[in-house]
Amino acid sequence: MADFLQNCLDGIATGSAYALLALGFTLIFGVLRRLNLSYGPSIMAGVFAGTALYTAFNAGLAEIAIATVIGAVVVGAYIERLCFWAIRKDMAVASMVSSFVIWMQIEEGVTLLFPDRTYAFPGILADAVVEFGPFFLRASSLAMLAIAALAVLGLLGLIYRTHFGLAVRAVSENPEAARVAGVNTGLVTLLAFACASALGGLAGFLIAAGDEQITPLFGLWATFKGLIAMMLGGMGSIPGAVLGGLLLGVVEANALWYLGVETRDLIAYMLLFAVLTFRPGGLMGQAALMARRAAESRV
Amino acid sequence: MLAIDGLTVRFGGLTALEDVSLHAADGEVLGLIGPNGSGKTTLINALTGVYPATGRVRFRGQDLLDLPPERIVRLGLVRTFQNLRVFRRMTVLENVLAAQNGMTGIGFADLIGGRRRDAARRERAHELVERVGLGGDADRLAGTLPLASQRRLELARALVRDPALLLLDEPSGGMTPAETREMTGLIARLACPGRTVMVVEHKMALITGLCTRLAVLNFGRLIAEGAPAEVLRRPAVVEAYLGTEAPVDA
Repeated sequence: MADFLQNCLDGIATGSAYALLALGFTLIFGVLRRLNLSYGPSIMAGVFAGTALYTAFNAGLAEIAIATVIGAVVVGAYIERLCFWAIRKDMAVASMVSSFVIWMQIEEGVTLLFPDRTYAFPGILADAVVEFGPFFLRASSLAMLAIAALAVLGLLGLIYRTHFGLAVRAVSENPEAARVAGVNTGLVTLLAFACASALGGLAGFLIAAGDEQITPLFGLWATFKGLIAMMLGGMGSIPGAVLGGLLLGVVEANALWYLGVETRDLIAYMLLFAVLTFRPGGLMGQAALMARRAAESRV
Repeated sequence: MLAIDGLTVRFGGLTALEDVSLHAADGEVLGLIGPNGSGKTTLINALTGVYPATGRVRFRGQDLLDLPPERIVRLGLVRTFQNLRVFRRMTVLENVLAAQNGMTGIGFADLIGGRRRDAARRERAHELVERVGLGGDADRLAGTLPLASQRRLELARALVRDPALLLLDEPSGGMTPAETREMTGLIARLACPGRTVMVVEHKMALITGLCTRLAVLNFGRLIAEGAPAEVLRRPAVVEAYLGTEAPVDA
């Protein structure tokens, strides 16, 4: 039992980073109704911007974090203009395929600039451990959890408390009505994309700082984890993304402990399979799915 | 105010609107009628930038065709929908606020909320929600409102942009006679110097009670235009309506 609880604690810490990735995915999917496969690679490019600052100038953590976020936002905006803004809305597959092409381009570009397999990334409070009675957590995991929680709260505030958030929700719910209500959907989409990339950049920074290293394969990893967490929670659902991220983290941590590293990802995919079989819209996505169905049936 | 000249809309081989010329004067209530499929909604869609069209549309000295929908709204031409398009997962008040804000000139204040501007916007949104008779439902989710109230909400959402031309697509669709009467009264109070209203409707009671002028479409062509009582008696109009519904039942 103690093992299980300890695993859950570790899992929640990792899951908080997954939640950030899923939130970014869900934000993009919400406003665009199209999938951005290049989301992970854009984050990876941001993390490499941070690495470059670290290796070349031995910059501090805050500067590296900022460089990572800015790098991810710039590459994210590049993807948005090329794969989504420039391609018509009803051609979702064309957007997805071109986002895959840009993925390859980003990965190749980074590999050319950084030819080694792995690069060092500075850790947060490297070896410190915080104890809670019988349980403990690496200080870096605790920092990850705290920063991710703040970012989620910040995003919720942005989406549910500001005019910008209102516009994002309007575009997510009904892009056509939003346009006719006078909302500048193009600008809202670009800014939502930038928010998603900033969240992703933050997640990338936290994960790379936890691992203290980075490889170009991080892009693939981030796209996988973010996609799985988003689909678990329900595509387009913000609470679902948080739940999906945490659930994925907890299940992975327990699978790792009880079954070993080889089975960990297998268990994660089985979880996704089970959830999608019994709740095709994801855990929290059913409401969104039904609302859309109702909307379509009225047209 | 609005001058439509030779407006034509084609979908592949089908001509939905052919060479329609029509104008609307400041402050009038112009009724747009015609049998099902005659092109009324198509006309609205063409005016608001939803469908591509050829011809010429001038609105307050501006050419409208080829402008994207959100630009047209900002010029002061705002519509409601026959099939409702409220944001169902937002509250009534948020629906109105979303249209008011519109992210037109996005400043930093939009991102952080700008307290004073925020209060003014909320007050105005509240005012409009009251005006359309939804004061008691301001914090309800729009998707849970009955249909008649959702139509009122769409009206409030359109009014928040302070339109110079308001296009109403079947504003009383699906309403009971009592609700229709209330809606007619509401629309009657909207037209004023500086605001023209154009109504697409089937219900003759609403049309004859409201409109100062009528335009009749049939098979995508304008077949009559003029004072309601006179237009409804013209043989071409009566013929267009034969077999569907008699136009003079009010």
